[in-house]
Amino acid sequence: MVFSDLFFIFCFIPVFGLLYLLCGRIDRLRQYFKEKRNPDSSLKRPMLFRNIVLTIFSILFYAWGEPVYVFLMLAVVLVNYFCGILMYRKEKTAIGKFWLIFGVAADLAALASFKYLGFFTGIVRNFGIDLPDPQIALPIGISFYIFQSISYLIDVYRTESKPQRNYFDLLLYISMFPQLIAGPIVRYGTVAKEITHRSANADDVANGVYRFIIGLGKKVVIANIMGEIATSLLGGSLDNMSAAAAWVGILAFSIQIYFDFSGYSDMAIGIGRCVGFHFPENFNHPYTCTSMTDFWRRWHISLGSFFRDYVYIPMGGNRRHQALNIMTVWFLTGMWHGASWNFIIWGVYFGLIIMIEKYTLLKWKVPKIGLYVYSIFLILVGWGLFYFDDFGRMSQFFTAMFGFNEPQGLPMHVESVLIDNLWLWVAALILCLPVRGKIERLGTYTASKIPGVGNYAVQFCHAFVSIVILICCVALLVGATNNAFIYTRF
Amino acid sequence: MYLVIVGIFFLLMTAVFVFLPRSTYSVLEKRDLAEFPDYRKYTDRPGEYTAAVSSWFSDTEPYRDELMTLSMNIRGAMKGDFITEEDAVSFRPADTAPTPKTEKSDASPAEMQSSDEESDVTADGESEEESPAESESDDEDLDDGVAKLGSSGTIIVGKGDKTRALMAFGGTPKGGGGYVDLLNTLADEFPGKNVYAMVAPLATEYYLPAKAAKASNPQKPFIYSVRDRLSPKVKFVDIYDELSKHKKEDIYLRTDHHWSGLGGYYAAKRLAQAAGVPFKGLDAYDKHTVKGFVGSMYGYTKDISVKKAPEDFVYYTPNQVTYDAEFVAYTLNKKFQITRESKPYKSSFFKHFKDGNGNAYLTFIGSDQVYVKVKTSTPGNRKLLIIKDSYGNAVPGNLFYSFNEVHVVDFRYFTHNLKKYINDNGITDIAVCFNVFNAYSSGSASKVKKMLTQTGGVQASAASQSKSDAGTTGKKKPAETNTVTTAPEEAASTPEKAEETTRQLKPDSIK
Repeated sequence: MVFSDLFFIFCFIPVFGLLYLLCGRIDRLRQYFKEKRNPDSSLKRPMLFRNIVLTIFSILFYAWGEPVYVFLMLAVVLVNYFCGILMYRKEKTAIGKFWLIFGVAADLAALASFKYLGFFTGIVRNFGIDLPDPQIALPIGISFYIFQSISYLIDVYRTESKPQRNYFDLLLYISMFPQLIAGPIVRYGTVAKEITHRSANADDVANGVYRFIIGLGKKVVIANIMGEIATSLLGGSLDNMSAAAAWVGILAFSIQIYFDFSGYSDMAIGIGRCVGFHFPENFNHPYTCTSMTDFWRRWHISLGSFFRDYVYIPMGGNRRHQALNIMTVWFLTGMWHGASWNFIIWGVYFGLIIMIEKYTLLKWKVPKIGLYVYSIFLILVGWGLFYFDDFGRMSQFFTAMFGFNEPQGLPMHVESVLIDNLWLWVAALILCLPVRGKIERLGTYTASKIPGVGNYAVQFCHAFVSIVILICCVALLVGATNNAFIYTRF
Repeated sequence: MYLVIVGIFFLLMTAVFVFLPRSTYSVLEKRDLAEFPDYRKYTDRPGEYTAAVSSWFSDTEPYRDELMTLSMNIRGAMKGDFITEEDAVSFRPADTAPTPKTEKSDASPAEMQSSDEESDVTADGESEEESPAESESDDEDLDDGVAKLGSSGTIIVGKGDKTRALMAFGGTPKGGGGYVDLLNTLADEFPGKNVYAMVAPLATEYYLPAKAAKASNPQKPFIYSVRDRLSPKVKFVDIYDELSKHKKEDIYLRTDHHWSGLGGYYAAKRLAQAAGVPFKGLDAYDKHTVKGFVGSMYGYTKDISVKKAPEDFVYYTPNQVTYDAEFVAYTLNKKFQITRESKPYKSSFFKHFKDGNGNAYLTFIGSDQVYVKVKTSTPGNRKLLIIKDSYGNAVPGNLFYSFNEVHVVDFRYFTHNLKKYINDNGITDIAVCFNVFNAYSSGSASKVKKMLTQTGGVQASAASQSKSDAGTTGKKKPAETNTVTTAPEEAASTPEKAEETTRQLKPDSIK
C-alpha cells in the first residue's frame, strides 16, 4: 500500500485511527486500575494495546503490497532479535563481535540475495560463465528495513542502546508502517524509548496531520504531474532529442524526485507524530545547497548519517585514508539505490566531486551565486545518470543535454508542457526554496501580536490549506493507478 | 480547532467514500468502471489481488465523474494563459485506463493506433485480471486488430471555443495489407457486383498545425498506398480528396473522435459518384442540431478545455424520399460476445438526442450492435451493402436517394454468412468503409473475411469468436452473461429511451 492511495487514506487510516484511539482508552483504563490498587506503581507496558494495533496494521500495510515477502521481514527481525539478545552484556568482547558480524552478515545476505543477485549473476554472465537469471522481484522497502536492522545491531554492540528483549517491540520498530517502505531510516536509539513510553497531545496530532497533508500535496499535486512530464520527455525515443527537451525533462524529474521523496518523508514524520514518535528529518531544502557536500547534508539526511556513522567514521573518517573512505561511502550510497551500474556511477560521481570540492571550491572564496549555479548544474547532471539505467539511452540524453544535436529551438511538446503547467512549475520552484516555513513563521508571529483571535486565525488558515490540498489530492487521485513512490523501489 | 475542522471534514469525506453507493459507470469516459475483484482468480498471485482492490476503490469512488471534472479543472488552472494565438497546441500523454480490464475494452486513442508492424493484433491487451486461458479468447473479439502506440497520445489545438482535440496516427504506408486483401477477395468472390473501398482519414490530417506535424504520421501516403494496391476490380472512393476540398466546413466534430454528419455526407457523395447513382444536394435534407455536444475526446484527453468548448452536433435527414428501416439487434455480454439476436423490428433510422448529450453521434443507426436493412422509395434495383466501423455510421443516411435498398453491417457484429446474405438480398454494390485505424490493422479486415465463411447463428458466432477457450469460458458464459443492452424493441422505440439505453451501451470507440 502507498500513502497516496485513496484506499489508504479513506479505509486504512480511519480504521487504524479508530482502533488506536480505542486502545488508548483501554491502556488508560489499565493504568487507572493499576494505580487504584497501588498508587505508587505504574504499568510496565503502558502502550501495550496501542502497540499491538500499530504492529498488526503495519504488517497488514506491508502485506498489502508484499503478501509473500512479509515473511522475509518477520524472519529478518527474528534473526536480529536473537543476535541482539546474544550480544547483551558481551558487547565489546569477541563473542559480542561474533554475533554482531553474524547478524550484520545475515542482514546483508538477505539484501544481497533479494536485491542484488540478479545484478551479480548478470556480471558473472558477462564473463562468459552461464548462470541462470534468478528473477527475484525486489521486496518493497527492503533497503530501508535492512539498514534499520543493521543500525539496531551496531547500536546494541556499541552499548548505545540496550537490546530489545521483546520480539514484538523490535518488530514494531522495524515494521512501523509510517517509515517502513521508504524511510526515513530511523535509528534504533532515536525511538527506543518511544516504543514503550510515548505520548501525543492534541498539538502533536494537529502538527502530524498538517505535516501529512502537506506531504500528500507534494506527492500528488507536484510529484505526480512532474513525473508525467518527465516521462513524456525522457521516456520515449531520444533520437536527435532537442537540448530544451533534455533540460526541461531532467528538471521535471529533479522536481519529481524531490517532492516525491520529501513528500513521503513528511507523511511518515506526520503519521509518526500523531502516534507519538519523533522521526528524524530527512530533507532540508536540498536544492538551495551551495556545494555537493552541502547537498548531501540536505538530501536524504538519514541515509547520509547512516553511512557517516556506520561506515565512514569506523573506517577512519578524515584521519586515515580519507579518500578511500569517501569513495567507499559513495560507492555504497550508489549501490544502495539499486542493483544497476548507473546507480554505482551516480554514487561514484558524487564521491569524486565531493573529494575534489574539499581541496578546491570549499577553500576558495566563490560568490554565492556561482556556488548555486555550480551545484544545481551538477545535481541535474547527476539525475541524468540516475534516471537512465540503459547506457545507450543515457548517452543519447547527454548528447542532447550538452547541445551536440542540431539546434531546434523550443520544440512544440516542450513548449506545451511548460505552458500547460506553468503555475505548477512556478509553485514547485518556489517551494524548493525555504519560503513556506518563513511565511508560516511570519504569519504566526504577526498573529501572536493580535490577542484573542490570532491563534484561531493561524489554525483556521492551516485548516483551510489542509482542506484545499485534501480536495485537490482526492480529485487528482480518482482513477489513478500509477502512483507509486520512487523511493519504495530502492 | 484545527483538528476539529480537519477531523470533521475528513470524517465526512470518509463517510462519503466508504458508505455511499459506488459509481459503476463513467459517463465521462464512457466505460464501465472496475468491478470488485474476484479472489478466486488470484489464488496464485495474492499481491495482484490487493492491488486490484486498491484500484477498484479508486476507480469506483462515489461522485467519480464530478471529481474527475474537478481534477481536470485543477489541471486546467495550472495553464499559463498568456498565449493568445489560435494555434495553441498542447499534447496530452495517452491516459492509461485505470484498470486492466477496462483498458482493453475501452480503447483509448493510443490503443486504437496501429503500430508500424503489419501483424498488429493486440497481444498486450491481455487482461491481468483473468487467467491466461481466458484472456486469449478476449484478444479475439476485442482487439479489432489495434495495437498500442506507447507514448503518443492526443493533441489539443486551438483555444477557447475553437478548441479541437485530435488523435495521433502512427501508421506508415506499409500497413493495411489485410484491408486490401479483403477488398480484393470481395471483388473476386462477387464478380458482377461493384466493390468499393472507403478509407476515412482522421481529423488530424486536416487540422494539425504545421508546427506540431511531428506528433502524428501523415495519413495521405497510407490511404493512397491502399488505393495503389487494390485490384482494378475494386473501386476506390477518394474520401480524402473530397474532404480536402471542404476542410473549411465542419466536416469533423471538434470534441469527438468521429467526423460529423457533413463529413459523412461528402463521403457518401463520392461513393454515389463512383457508383454512378443519383445524389441530392443538402437542400433535399432537413438540418437538425443537438446543441452543447461534447464528445468522446473529452474523456480521452481528460482536458478541461475540451469540455469548455461544446459544439453543435448537426445531422441531415432526407425529406423527399421515404425510407423504412428494419433492425436486428445483438445482445452482448460484458466481454462483447454476442449472446442473443433479436427478431427484426422496425424503427427510425435517425434518433434525435437531447441537447448536451455526449452520445449524440449515435444518432446515426443508434448503435453498433445491429444490422439494418433500409428500403427506400428510390426506384431501381441498386442495392447497397455497407460494411463499416463507427465512422461508417454517418454515411448510409445520405444514400437513400441513391439506392433502392441500403444494408448496413458492423464489422464486429454480424452472425450470418455474409456471402449468403449478399446473394439472398440481391445486393449489387458492396462498400467497406473504415477509418484509417481499422483500415490499417489486419485484424479488422480478417473479421469481415471470417463472415464470408461462417455458418451463421448466434452460437456459431460466439464459438468462432472464442474458439480457443471453449473449455474455460464456455461453461461460465451463462453466468457471466450480462445484458448490456435492453430489449432492442424497447431501446429503439423512442429517442428518449434510446438515449437511456445508450448510456449502457458499450463504449463507442473507433472500431
